[in-house]
Amino acid sequence: MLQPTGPFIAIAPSDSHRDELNDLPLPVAVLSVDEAGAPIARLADTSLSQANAYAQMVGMLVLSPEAATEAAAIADAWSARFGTDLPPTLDLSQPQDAPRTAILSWLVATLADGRATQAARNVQLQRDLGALRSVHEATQTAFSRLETYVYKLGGPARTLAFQLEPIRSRPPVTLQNKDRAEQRLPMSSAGLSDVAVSIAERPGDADGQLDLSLELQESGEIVAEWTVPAAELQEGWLRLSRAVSLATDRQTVILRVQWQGSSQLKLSQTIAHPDPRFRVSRNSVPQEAVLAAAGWSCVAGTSLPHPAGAWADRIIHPRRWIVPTQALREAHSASPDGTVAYSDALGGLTVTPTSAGPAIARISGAGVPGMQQIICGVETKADAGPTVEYALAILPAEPDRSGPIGVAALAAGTMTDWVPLPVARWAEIQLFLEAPLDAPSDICVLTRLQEADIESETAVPDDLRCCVFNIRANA
Amino acid sequence: MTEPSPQLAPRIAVIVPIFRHSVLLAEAVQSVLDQRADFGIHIFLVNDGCPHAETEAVCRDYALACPDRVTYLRKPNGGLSDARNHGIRHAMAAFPGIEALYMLDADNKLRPDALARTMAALDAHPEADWIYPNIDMIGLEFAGDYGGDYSLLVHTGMNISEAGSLIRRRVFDAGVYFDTDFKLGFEDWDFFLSAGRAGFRGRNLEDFGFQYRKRPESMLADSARDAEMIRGTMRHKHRDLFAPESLLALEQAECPRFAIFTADTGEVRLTVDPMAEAARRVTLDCFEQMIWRHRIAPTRFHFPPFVVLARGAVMAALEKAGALRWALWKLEWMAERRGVASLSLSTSQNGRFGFTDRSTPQSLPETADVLVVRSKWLLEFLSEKGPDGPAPSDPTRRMYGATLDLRLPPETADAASSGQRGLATEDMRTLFGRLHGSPFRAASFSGWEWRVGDIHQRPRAHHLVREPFGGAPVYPKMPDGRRHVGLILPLVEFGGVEKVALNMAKGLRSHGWVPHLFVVEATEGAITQEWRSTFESVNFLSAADFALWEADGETYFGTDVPNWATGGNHSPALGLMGWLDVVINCHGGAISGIMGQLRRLGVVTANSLHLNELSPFGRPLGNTYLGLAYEHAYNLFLPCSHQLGDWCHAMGIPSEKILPVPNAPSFPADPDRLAVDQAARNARGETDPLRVIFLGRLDRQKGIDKLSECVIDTRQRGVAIDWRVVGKSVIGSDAPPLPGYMEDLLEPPLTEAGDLLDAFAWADVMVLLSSYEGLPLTILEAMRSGVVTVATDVGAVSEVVTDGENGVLLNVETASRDCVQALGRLSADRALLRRLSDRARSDMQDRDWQSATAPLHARLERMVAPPAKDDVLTASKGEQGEPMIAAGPSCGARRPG
Repeated sequence: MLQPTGPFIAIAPSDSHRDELNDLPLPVAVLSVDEAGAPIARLADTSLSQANAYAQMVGMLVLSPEAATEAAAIADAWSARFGTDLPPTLDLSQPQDAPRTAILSWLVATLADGRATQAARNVQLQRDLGALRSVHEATQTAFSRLETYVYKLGGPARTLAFQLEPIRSRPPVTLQNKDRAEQRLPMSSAGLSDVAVSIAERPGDADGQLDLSLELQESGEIVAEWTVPAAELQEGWLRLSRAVSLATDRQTVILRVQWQGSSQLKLSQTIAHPDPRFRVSRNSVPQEAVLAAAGWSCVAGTSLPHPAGAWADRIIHPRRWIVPTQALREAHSASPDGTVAYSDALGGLTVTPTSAGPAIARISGAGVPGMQQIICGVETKADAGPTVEYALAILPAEPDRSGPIGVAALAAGTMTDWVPLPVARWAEIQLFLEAPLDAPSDICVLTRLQEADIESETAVPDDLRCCVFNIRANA
Repeated sequence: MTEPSPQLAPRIAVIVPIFRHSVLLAEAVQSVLDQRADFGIHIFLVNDGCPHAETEAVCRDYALACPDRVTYLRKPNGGLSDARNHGIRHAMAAFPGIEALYMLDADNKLRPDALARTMAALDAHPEADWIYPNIDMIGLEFAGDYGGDYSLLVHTGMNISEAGSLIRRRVFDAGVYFDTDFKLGFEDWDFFLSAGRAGFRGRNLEDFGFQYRKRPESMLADSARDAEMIRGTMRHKHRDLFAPESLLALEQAECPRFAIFTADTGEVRLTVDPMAEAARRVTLDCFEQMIWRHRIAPTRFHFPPFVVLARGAVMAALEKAGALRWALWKLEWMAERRGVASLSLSTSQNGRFGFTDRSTPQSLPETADVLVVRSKWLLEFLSEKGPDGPAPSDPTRRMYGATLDLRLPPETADAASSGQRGLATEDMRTLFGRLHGSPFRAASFSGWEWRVGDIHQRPRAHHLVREPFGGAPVYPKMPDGRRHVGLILPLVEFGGVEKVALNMAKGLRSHGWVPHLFVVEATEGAITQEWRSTFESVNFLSAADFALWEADGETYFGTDVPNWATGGNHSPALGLMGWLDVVINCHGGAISGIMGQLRRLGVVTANSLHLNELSPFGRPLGNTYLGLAYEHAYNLFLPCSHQLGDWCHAMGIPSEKILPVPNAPSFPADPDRLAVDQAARNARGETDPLRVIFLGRLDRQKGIDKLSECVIDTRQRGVAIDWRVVGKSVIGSDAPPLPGYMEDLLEPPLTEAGDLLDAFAWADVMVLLSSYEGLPLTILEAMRSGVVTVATDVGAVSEVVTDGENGVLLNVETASRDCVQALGRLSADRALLRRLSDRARSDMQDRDWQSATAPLHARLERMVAPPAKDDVLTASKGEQGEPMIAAGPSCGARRPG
């Protein structure tokens, strides 16, 4: 099929052989059309389809009374064919002094009309764009305010969406150097914030790395990438987080894994699945296995504090963190006195001193490289009782974290001042670091009675609980 | 202007019909322009006479801005189908190299890799004719999973291919286009059904990348309001696709109804027809995967809705008895209601064939021979107590279902060796344990698919096949290229109607028809070896609400119109018989009520008539009058005599519908034997006592009271007669008490041909003093053997007995007296006796059922459509040419046969 060559003027068959056409050099082509309005010839003796003529015909030129009659028939045929009127007609069937001038004037007027219409449309489109921009900006502003409000309340939670537990009795999926694995996840992409795989056996050698990515199947888009050095791989769940949850556009999620290392890496299997679509493939070969995996989700498209302990996405670096509740549950006492325990009833970690000495809670691995400001909410829950002082400190992560630590040792490191707080008063304690953490660290929460109360051996009521809530950090 | 270079020549044309979506159109077009593909894609914008000037402006802008990728076509408004066709025709003419066309509605859009991915799917699956998407909606949020193997059967029940499908050019080259008469919606559904009828098949692509804009008010919302009307139009247009035999063939190929597990072979057959050679066989491993795959995603993976457990020998015994298909049909019905149904075979003590249906729930018999379980019910049972719940120690103890006891004659029941009998319940325990212990069971307790399974008709595909039959289970019989005729009887004993039916079946069989027996009222019968060798199958209606003549007062010229005929549940009978080519009703009373419906299903219906019965006051009534009431529902009337045929015509049945099938002797006789018997008869002494026999039922109809008078009268007159009275009461208790002298004469009824021939060979004369008759078979049999008939002139007796020529006709009012006189005459005039005897014999020569049924055969051949061939409607083919049944590639299914 021939493509349209550009705008043209149509003439009726009776006018197609008129000599004056040769004396009318015009800036557009002139095509003869048949009685149905279909171009049948042009001066260069090629043809064009009627349908394409529709878009390109500027108008009709009539140069003779015979052609005028034909033009009327062409107009009817055009209307029947396209359901609309024939483009404007210039009737020069009567003798003209300056036909070329008339034609050029008509052309200019026709094109000017079209240009005016187009300009009006462009103005309308610009207006629409402006309106859309305003609405978008207002939506962004409102959403930002909503996010701020939600963060003040503790931030949106990453909720466990699915968990396919490792089954020890099923042999792990073994990856050799440069092996790839691909596993479809049983959740849609909307709001996805974290995924996890289960390491069945850490690699024997410390060299190498594990690259993981998430791909959205329908759009082919890679939405997250992580790299975990082999030395960091431990048995158990390896959690990988995005700083921003995926948007509302729901698609199928594929987890891709590539291992590079001199020793093997073994990933845990979960329950078997009869549908090959949900089985892992290794190097594009389907396996009779499903990878143990977990996924978390949140409100779609929101930026979230990064869960401490999870690996951050390479694409978007986190700038905010939150210490997961699980880490608080696993906090242990690092002092001989006082009690440390997580309270489901109170929804926080209790670090309660005695008159004999302070209480110190050590939260292993809660400090993540990049953190520079650590914040937590504190409150002493009791009907009545003495003022309790609170402090935060940072310790390097050590292989042996079980032993007691002295306050003096903490104070010699990075620690806040003691902040006194009467019973039933809420406050936030903030620890500012001179430089962002450059290695995994432990966060310690300390509580003690004031000196006067210690000297007077003020009894600590049984119901008194010093609570720590919502430990979070910023870059 | 030169032709575009080959590298740019498009492989895909995208057709975008536009009417009123002036603004959203740009998003649709842009999504196509943004496609990432290594081949050309050309867009055809079809402005279907949209009244918005903005549509024209947008289309022109794109056409002018992208002239090598966009063509703008404008036309007067003609509707969505017309607009698509316009674009399709233009595209195929403009680009002869176009391989596929994509229909994109102006308010939808595509992800960037959609067309590349879809074209790759077409390249990878040359057998696929179109690729259709899942429905990922924008606007009203919903994501529908349309995955799984394509099924034309399911497609008849719901549209599974969105218009936004990539369609191979060859579909349009074959002349399949969008129907411009569908202006109210579902035009895409109609299009794909047309494609299916033409032999084309689709394939789903899960990650198609199609985005469907869904709004509460739209053309589709409008269509939903007119849905029933549009569906009716489609069913009418595609009636050959919706015809029962087509649906059944699709069910066999795509969504087989039964998974028949035979533990002795360890394999599972997936089939509708248990006797079909082409049934797919899978291993138990594959079966295990299939059932759990179906549990997890029932709208994606078909699984037979009924699991059958039976040993091979039991199946063979049922097949030998001609009851296999009926048994499965019946058990399906029972299992549908109760979850599980069992069948126990036993040997009938008296050689009869029958069943007892216990529909109230019973615990499973420990020695059941066949179990049929609803898969849904089985899966719910398997899924109790969660993923970690232990298997019940004996699951069969909790299985309460319906039971069917089937009693077969010894020669069939004993076909299944004792070692293979009664094992179905044990096989169920084994199967249950295996399925419960499957490693795939745990996966069924988690969610895996984020889309909603939306092919909701797939798990209920068997209901689509049932729709023409009012929802009842459909007889599991596939077309096999033979012609099948069903003969309907209320019961099978030794009555004349039954004998006629048996012999008519034999006659038709000799002409190449395959007869099947349908007993509509009784639950057992004297279905002897002779019957089983004549009829390919034996079937019982066994409908609890069926009663032959029960009526609440509505009559047709004095004959009760049975309740069941006018208001009963006809669906089971339709499901049982709707597959036949011909149905012949042999005095089946109320069953006339389904004949009109059978005709509409394409079955030729015929009414076999035998006699006008008489009320106690002598008024004619019965199946003849009921036949008149349902005359419009019958294609043919088959009276047993020409006289009855005349009566039918006189009563208003057009002569073209009347085709007499004159009775003939009901059992064969060797002509040499007959000649010997006649010679022996003629050699008897002139003074020997006249041997007179009566053969028949001892009731008023047969004139037993007149016969008694006759016997005593001849004795009193001293006429030298040796009497034999052979028979017993068969129908009701309409028999006067027999005098003692008659009791002394009474002999038990004779049923074997040899015994009957012996009895006739003994006799000189047969007496039949009936008050009404059709054309009695005993008269024909007696005449064939040279026995002179002395009978009342009732019914069509005079059609074969000519007084003074080959027998004696008596006035029914004076039958007793006249009979005595006639016997006296014959006793005294042996020459007369011989003359009548010889003439009777010669008149019956060449009278047989093959001749009698020849005209019927010829007529039926003209009326019945040619047998179904294996055409494009019968199978969807998978990649290896096997029928496409969803099962993963790791199943290792074996090829059928």
